[in-house]
Amino acid sequence: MTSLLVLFALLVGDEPTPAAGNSPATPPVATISFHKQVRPILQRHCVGCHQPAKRGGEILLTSHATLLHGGETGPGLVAGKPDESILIKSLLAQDMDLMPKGGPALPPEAIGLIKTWIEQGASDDTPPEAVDTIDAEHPPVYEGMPLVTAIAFSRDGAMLAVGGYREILLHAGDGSALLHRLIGLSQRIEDLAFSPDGSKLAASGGSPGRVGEIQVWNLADQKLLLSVQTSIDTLFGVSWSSDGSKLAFGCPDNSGRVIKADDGAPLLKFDHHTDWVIGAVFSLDDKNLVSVSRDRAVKLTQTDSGAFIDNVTSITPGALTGGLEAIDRHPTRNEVVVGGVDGVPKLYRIFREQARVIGDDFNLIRPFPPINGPIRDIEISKDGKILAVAGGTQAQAYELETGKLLASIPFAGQVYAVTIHPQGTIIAAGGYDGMVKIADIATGQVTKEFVPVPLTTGVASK
Amino acid sequence: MRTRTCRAIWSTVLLASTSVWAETAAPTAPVAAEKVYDGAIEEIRLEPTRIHLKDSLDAARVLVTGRTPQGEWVDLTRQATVAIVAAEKFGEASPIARRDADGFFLPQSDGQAIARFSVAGKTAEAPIAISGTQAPRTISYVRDVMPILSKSGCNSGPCHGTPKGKRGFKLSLRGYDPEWDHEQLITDLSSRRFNRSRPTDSLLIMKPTNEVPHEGGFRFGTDHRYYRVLLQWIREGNQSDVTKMTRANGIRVYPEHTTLREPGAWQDVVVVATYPDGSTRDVTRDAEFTASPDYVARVAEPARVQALRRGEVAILIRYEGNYAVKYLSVLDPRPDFVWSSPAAHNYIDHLVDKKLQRLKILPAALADDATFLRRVYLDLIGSQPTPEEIKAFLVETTPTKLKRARVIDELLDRPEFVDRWAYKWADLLQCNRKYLGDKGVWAFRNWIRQQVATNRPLDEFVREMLTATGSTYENPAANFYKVARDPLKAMEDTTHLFMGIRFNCNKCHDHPFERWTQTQHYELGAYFASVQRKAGLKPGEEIVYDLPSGYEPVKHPRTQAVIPPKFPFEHAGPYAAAPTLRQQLADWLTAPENPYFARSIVNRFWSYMLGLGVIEPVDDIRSSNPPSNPELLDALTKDFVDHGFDLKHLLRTIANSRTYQLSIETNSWNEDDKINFSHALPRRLTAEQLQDSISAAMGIPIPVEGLPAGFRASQLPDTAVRADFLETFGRPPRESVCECERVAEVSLKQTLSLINGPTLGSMLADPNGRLNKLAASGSADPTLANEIYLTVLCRAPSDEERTKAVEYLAAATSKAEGVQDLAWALFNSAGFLFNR
Repeated sequence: MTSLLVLFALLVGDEPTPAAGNSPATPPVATISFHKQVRPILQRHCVGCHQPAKRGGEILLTSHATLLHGGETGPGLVAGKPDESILIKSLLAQDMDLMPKGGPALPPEAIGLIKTWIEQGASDDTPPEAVDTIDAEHPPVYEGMPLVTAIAFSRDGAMLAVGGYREILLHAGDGSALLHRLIGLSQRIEDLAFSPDGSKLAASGGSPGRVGEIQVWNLADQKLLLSVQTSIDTLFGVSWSSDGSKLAFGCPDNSGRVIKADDGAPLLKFDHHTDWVIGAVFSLDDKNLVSVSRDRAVKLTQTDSGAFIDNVTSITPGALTGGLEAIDRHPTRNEVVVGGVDGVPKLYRIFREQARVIGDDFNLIRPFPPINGPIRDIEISKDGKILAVAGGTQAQAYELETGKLLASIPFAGQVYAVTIHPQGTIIAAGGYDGMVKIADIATGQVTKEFVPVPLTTGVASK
Repeated sequence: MRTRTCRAIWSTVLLASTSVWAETAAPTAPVAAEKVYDGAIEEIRLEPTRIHLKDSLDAARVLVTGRTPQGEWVDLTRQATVAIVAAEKFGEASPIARRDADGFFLPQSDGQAIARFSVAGKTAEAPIAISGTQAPRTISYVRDVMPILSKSGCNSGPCHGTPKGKRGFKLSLRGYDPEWDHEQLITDLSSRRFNRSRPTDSLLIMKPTNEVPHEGGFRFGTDHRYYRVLLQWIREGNQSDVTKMTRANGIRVYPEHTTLREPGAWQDVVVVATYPDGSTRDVTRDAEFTASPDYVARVAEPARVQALRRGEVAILIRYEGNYAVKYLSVLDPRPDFVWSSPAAHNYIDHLVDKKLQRLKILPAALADDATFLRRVYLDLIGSQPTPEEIKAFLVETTPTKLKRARVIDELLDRPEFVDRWAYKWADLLQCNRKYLGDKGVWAFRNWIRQQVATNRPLDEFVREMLTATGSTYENPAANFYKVARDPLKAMEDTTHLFMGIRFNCNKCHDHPFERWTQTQHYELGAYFASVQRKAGLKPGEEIVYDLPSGYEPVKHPRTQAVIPPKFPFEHAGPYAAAPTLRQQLADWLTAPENPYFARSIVNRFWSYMLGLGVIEPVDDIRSSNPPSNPELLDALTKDFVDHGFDLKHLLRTIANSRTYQLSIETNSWNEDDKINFSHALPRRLTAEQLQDSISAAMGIPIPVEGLPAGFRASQLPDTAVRADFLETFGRPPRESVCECERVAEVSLKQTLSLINGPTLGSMLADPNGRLNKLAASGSADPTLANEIYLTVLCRAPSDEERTKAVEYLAAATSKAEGVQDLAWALFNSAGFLFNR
């Protein structure tokens, strides 16, 4: 029996490889392109798992650099030596589990192509234009109307910042002129916040499905002070601590985070939410954070420790009526207004004054009259008198103390962003239709309406 | 206790068992190589017979099918060449359409012409009309975009169609709510999924192409039609036309023929959608296809079926919430096949044979008398025959068919018949003291027994329950509403039990595999919304009554709109005039015209007798789960209705058929058939059949805790009566109406229970048991061997088995122990554990 096994092993082990040694003259091999030939194979078969969101084997196959860098089992390849390269070994299941996991294996031609590319030195021919073409000298060109996803008046009201594609546009506060274009990496700007001293502008955003980014701009010289790329998707709802030293924001990985505003050093990541966190604000003394999420909850967290303190709203089943997407804090009180898909803005006190009992909603101070669709943005005026809400196809202003509706500005599409002029008499908003409207709260009249980005003539005339 | 005799016992066990497991083996035949028919063709036909393309994005395919000299239809679509013969006003030089490699006609310019197909020396012509190519064609969300989400799998159950969505992106399951889906695509999270400033940077098209890493993987490339459609839609402003554009309300599938000539053969398919305005459109490229079982055929893109193995396959086709099933038989030439023309006992055999003959399957031989007798006892009265009954039957010289008919009639009138079938109904109706209380469970059980004992017509039985009012003690039928305590539960139980459909799937979304909508769930539920319950005077008693004025409003969970009662379909039977909602419902349900009621019950009872429904699972009837033999099911249904919903008549007809009486032994023509009833299917005895058969074999009752001696397992009121043996063998807990509650699997625990457990052990050891008395009687070993086989397996041993058994008895330390050991081994064999 044993001898039979040995014999079998010998036979198998010694299986001849007919092509080796005496193969006929092979045709000359063309140079393989990483960008045009290898990358599409990886994109089609591999990046589903080997991407920042999943990090299978800790190796990312999303770019030449990450492939070389490799993962748990070492660098992804050894240039010139396909047989020693993890990429090839796993595709052929040689000493490694077969990739793609669960099969089927890639077609032999695809593996052969990658093999040849590694043999040829595994060079990176990614053309510069595929890397990036947009910078301050080459500002973004708009093929169509923009989406207005973020808007904010500066502290003095002289400027109106509007989120665009790959940029933030600084307009004059009355909408009369485009002053500056702050061009960065993020395809989308989800939220904008001016620092308490008014000298800086923070933006949360990123490129959907790929990366999130926090930007901090110095307004005096329009220089990017900070760019922190984190998470695998756009970042939401950014806000400043009252001393201007920290930034809080929400992440699509269900966490809320705090970083230092000067160098971006991470200070806190908290994970009590069970769905995307869409916004976070500090308490008056910065010691606590209040966050809203698509999980419908409003959560109170200690800034230093990250300890979960309380659910601000009732959490009795059925009490929460939809995901929350917007939050702002009162300028002088520990109170927040939150809003979400049910379209009802609600004013809550942050800290509980009565012990929780089942079914209570003690912290609720006041619900406001509903808006005609999901609430996307909320801002309380600097004097604490006015509440502005973007939701449905309306931008609305309320009297905070009474809940009285003061003005309702209709839009052609959904409204995503709203801001109140520091004087408290004017709101500006924008959304799906790409227009920015500036309106007088007292009269409800739109005083200025404009496209916030430079459009090519073809689009503008559309 | 018995380990010392293991070796002898196992040899006996092996001898007594044949392979019942062969039935569950996976197909081993290799996948056939690709086959293209190149033989003679007698005629060709086209399906559909005309081509009409209505805009520049339209495409349509025509199937070319040829008839062979043997009368089979084969697909020639790809072999055929096409000449587009232009009408007068267009010259030959300007064809108005072209045909791509997959056989689709694509428009070039407006006009009319003739497409002339040629293959195998035959030609056929179809008119071709093209219009609308002049006008710009904008992308329609409903017609162009929604089908992409379905076809690419985006809105499927495992992906974004799951209730929680994936990676923050949620769609309605299979697109039942296009309006909601449009919001998710376009406005959710401030329009993050598209980018109007730079459309090619839209998440919506970068995910499916894996430009942005996508856990759902690569769905289509940037060169795919779907990519171009989505990109154009974004550029055009990605509006929804849900309110303007109608969705298809039906689909029709070509080809008409239902056989594939041989494994390896290809068949192109065409799917035509029909719209409420009567117009039609070829939607072949956007329809979804699923082959089941996938080892018989597979579906390749675009819409090509390839036969893999001989067998039958259902191709489920979906488009915009419409479903169709193409049932295909993969034949093989089988030139040596000769139909044996077995005699039919009744119409069942005619219809079963008709299909077998077409598939070139030869049915098994008739089971021998002993096998038949055990089978029919187990099926009709729930326990096996005694040795005396077997002997009497075997010596009877009446012709086989007649004596079998006689024993069937006898069994239908035995008291155990009532036990067996009342117990089955009590399972389904959840006769369970957890819901009904101690007194209630007996009341309901006894009422059910009365219905079975009097052979109450099923429509009356069901109508009485559904319309029952009053005390659950005095009118036990009202216990139905003590179990189903709210309108939606009562509706779900009713549809599941008496229509065999899963109307609970469409509670939260439209049914994913059937036309039932979410709204219909609540509309039908509203018929039960008048039912009220109040406590009676006696403990546990409940009074069921109807609200004097109408019903409590049933609300749609999402829109909160009040939903009035409405049937999911109408039929010709009289039901509208009944005074209460419940009566209307009961009349609607039990009418002969209801296409589900009688049919689903007949199918259930067929499965109880044959081990497999004509539709399987029996309680999941839907257009995507077709019957294996529709003519058979239709005939059984008609017979049942014609005989006034008489269940005994149904059981008698089935039991008398040759089909029911076939052997489990297969031949080379039917060994791979599992669904056409060409041979009997071995079934593990149910828990109650096991216990009652052991008891019948040994001639002594098995004691049940808390009940008087002599209670058979199938007489127990519910499952609160403790019985470990019955639990082990999968007695259903009676907590749902699902047939799946009863566990039919074989487990290690069951094996151990029979090897070492107290139930069988104590029965074997009982000195009053039939075999122990026999051992004490001083009979000769060959006689003992005979009796043991008759007692346990209901048949005489073979010569070889008898020799082995006699050898074993001679070597045993005592006669009693030898007899017990042998009987124990046989009880543990497949011959006893299975109904064969």
